[in-house]
Amino acid sequence: MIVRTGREFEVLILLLMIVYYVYWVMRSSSGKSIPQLRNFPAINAIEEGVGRSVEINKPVHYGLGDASRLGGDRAAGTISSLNFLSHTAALCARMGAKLIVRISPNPHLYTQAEAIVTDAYMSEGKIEYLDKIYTLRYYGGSRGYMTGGIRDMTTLGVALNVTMGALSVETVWAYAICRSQGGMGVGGGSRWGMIFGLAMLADYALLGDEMYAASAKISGDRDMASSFIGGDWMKFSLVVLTILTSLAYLVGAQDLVSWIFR
Amino acid sequence: MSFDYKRNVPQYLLTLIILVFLIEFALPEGPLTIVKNELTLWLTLIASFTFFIAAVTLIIRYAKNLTEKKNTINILYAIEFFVIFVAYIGIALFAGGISGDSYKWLYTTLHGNLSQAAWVLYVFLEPWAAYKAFQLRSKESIILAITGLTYILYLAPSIPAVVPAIGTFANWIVNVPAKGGARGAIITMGVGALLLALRMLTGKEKGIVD
Amino acid sequence: MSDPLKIQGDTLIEKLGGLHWFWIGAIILLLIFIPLLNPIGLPISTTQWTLDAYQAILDAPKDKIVVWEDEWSMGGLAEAETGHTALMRLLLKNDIRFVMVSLTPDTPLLHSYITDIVTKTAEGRGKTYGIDWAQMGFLPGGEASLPFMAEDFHGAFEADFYGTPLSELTIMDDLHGYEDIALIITGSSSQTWIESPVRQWYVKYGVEIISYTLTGGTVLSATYWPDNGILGIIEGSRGGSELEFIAGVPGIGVAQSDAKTLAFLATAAFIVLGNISYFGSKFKRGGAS
Repeated sequence: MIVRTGREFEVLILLLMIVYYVYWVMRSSSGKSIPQLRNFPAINAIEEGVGRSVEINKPVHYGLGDASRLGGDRAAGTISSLNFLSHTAALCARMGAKLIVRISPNPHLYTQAEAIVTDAYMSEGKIEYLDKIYTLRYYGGSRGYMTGGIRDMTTLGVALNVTMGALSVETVWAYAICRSQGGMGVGGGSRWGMIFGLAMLADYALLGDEMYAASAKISGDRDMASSFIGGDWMKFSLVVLTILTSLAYLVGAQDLVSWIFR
Repeated sequence: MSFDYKRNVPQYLLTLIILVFLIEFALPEGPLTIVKNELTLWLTLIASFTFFIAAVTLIIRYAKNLTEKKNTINILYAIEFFVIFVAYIGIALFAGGISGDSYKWLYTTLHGNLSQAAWVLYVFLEPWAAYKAFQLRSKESIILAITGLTYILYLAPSIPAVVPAIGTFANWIVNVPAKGGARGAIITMGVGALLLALRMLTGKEKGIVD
Repeated sequence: MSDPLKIQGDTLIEKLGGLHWFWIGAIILLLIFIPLLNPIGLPISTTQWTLDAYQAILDAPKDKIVVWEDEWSMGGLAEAETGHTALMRLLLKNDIRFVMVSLTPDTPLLHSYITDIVTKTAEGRGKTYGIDWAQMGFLPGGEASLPFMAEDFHGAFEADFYGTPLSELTIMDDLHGYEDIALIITGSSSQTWIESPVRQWYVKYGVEIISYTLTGGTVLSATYWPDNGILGIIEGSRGGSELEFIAGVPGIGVAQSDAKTLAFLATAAFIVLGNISYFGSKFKRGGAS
């Protein structure tokens, strides 16, 4: 057998995904037109919130995500969060808003966050306005992250709370406190099991893949955006497959599709 | 033509490793399986090393607090960090190791109790969040409120014993709509993870090596 | 900071929806304390998934070892103590050999804490460490460490948490890889962790799993239950209380059940109150809620 026994279906899915991906990325790279990603109100809301922060003189709080780390299944969400941090920091530098960045319990992200915020302020020509001690806050473990974040939002006030990345219980406490302080909440989570908090409490939420797509949109990266279109085609294919498999079982023709579940 | 070592070397390494894993997944067990297993072992070694890096990062960060700016609170936090850091290391090295009674007592009494105390905040925040969020403002929030309320009552161990219908309805929520939605979300996540791997493989995932 | 003494709203119906989070939490805290100090003894219901978990543990082949991999930490002790104690007592009571593995740096100390409690119980007396159970230390790597354990357990751990070489522990003579594992009990205070052991243990090696998850984590674990890798689910302290009841190993679960019941009832009452206020205010002109 060319393919490992029991993995025929998985390999087929993998090959199909590769075909979709290569098609759309090559199309994008060669300058051909690609469908536009839809608008995400959350992106505009960040800009609106930063403007509000300047008006009412309360800081913008940015949380990198209490479960974020650059490894495993959380890498993608964490990278998206760093993209959004760059965008938010640039807006804050441009408009003169105060920015507080909650560094995730994973201390490795401190270096990344510092570099991104510094670059953002430099690109806006406002590096002299960046106070790293005020802006970059590391609180320790996840409990410290929570208590420190709550303390800062309640004592310093919050105009806008943005939390992106791999989120855990931050989806509840950050937005509950933000709401109670009269702030605007914008969030995006990659860990689908924890995004209920965003759905309940955030004013603007990016759920799952929406966060990745919005991240691609703000970075202006056509190739990344085209890869999401390939992903959407894959999802459509899986929907069709699910319907066909269900119909096969319904009409008693499960032998035709049983090889999928070996 | 200049070769960007900082960007290209990690990218090539990443591409090679991803290719090994993807091809090994598809092929029958063979020489590539040995390579893959060895790489997996190295992943564990790297993960162990990152704890050491984390400690160094923290020390640098708090040392900067001590020296950079005249901010009393930050200096106090930095002193607190170093005192506790040295205490843990000292006890682990000289007083019975991390499985010794002294270390266990220190960890349980200090860290364990403080960690748990922080969870008490949730008693204040989560019920308030539900009180605000489960208002029946729209069709979606009606569904959210009914399922949320049912599951909250179901989680109270005595309620389903007294009102079995709540247990039956909660079981249906878990076994039918929640399970279906969760499986759909897992499939979507799988597609997203595969896309991420392909972007990393082809160097289109900028954040990974930059 | 918003003033807890100020209740938003003009009329009584509006004020019902404007309570500060401090008062809601304070009332619920009070309702938690009362049964902890004086247990009421309210009935406990059992769930199918906990019953399945209990049965799966009893059905574990005695010639193999149960591996209990754990991500719970000391910070989750209040939620974890009931279940951990009940689980360990259940395993010892039924002479099921098991090995505890820590997947976070905090977890070995939690295991030590629980072991100190359980060794003083009726189930723990007469059992010998190294023969009936063993405790490994922290294995870094998260999901990546699971195949490492599955392929070569002795390679993953050279010594146990106390520094004893595995060759000196009798139980470890019978545990070398996935073929020697009867069942995986995977514990985590993360609801989403369960996907990692399903991918690694069940899909790759065919080893079935019991999920020991946080309260509210059943929905995600149930995705693979009952016949897609997960044989049963223990849901936080509620599952721990059920396990105490089913297995006949009574502990602190009873008082915790009473406290949870009152706390959740109060939460439900506040939700209803919030909606009464919302709809009441809606019918009034210019109401704020």
